[in-house]
Amino acid sequence: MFTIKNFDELTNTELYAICAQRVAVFVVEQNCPYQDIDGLDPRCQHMFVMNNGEIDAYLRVFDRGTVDDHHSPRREGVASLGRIITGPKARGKGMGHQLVAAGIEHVRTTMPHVHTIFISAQEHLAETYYGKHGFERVSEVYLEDDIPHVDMELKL
Amino acid sequence: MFTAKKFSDLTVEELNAIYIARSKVFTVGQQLTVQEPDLADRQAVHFFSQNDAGEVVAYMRLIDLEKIEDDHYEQVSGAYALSRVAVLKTLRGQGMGRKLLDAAIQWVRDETEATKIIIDAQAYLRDSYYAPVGFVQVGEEFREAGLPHVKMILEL
Repeated sequence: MFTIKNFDELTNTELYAICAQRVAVFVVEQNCPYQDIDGLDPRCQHMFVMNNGEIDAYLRVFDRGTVDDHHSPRREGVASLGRIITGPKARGKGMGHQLVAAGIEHVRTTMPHVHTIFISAQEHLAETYYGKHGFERVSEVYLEDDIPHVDMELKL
Repeated sequence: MFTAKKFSDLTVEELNAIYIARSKVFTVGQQLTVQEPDLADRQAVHFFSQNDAGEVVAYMRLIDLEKIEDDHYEQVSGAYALSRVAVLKTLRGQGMGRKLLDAAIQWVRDETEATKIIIDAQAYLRDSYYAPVGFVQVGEEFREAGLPHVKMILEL
């Protein structure tokens, strides 16, 4: 159901659709003018479902052992899931949970050295959404771009 | 110095670099929570300059108003529009914006049959940036994305 691609395998139409939907959700809908297109995407794998040229569900995965970014310092054996969204038209159908489950499964099956999956979750989703997949809080609540977040980890 | 490419001719790296630059200048720089990127990208010519690291440092998109099919652009025969005109903050004050505008106008002269260029300019740039190369204001100031704008036309 979900397509997963390395950055250089994305078509321009796919990258457009991904960036447009991420901005639609994180910048426009949440009224948060931050730099969503942050430069990390070339080092991520991108998991998504597209429907009529629009992204219904999306996340990006990266190996923290190979990435060193000011938001995501290097951590061996850790993979991050980020920018997790379902598009407005795709909500209420359980697709978000399928997406997170598929993301976890992708890490389990393709990154054998990874023992922990990390997310920086919007706090209101911590238990209702990520907790259902086994993620546990590992930090206090903090503000990122004025939105309460909490770090969560899933031990594989 | 400047590259002009249709959407489908861009590499995915170039498209990503364009979106990073636009995100920095408009979303973060001007604290705008509008939809960025938008669908017009797929019908535009992307006009940009990159530094040695591949970062897009100056950018605009050129839209053939005779052919455009998009909710945000009215069709006008014989006209091109310039939009999303952006120079990275680190490059400002060095004449880069002027070179970008001159080169884009020259591109429209050389590569198209258009007889005029239309821009919805941010009002603060009317006299300092667009008027000196011949753009003339038409109509009253209006607000778009919460910012004062003016429509300006350059007859070629």
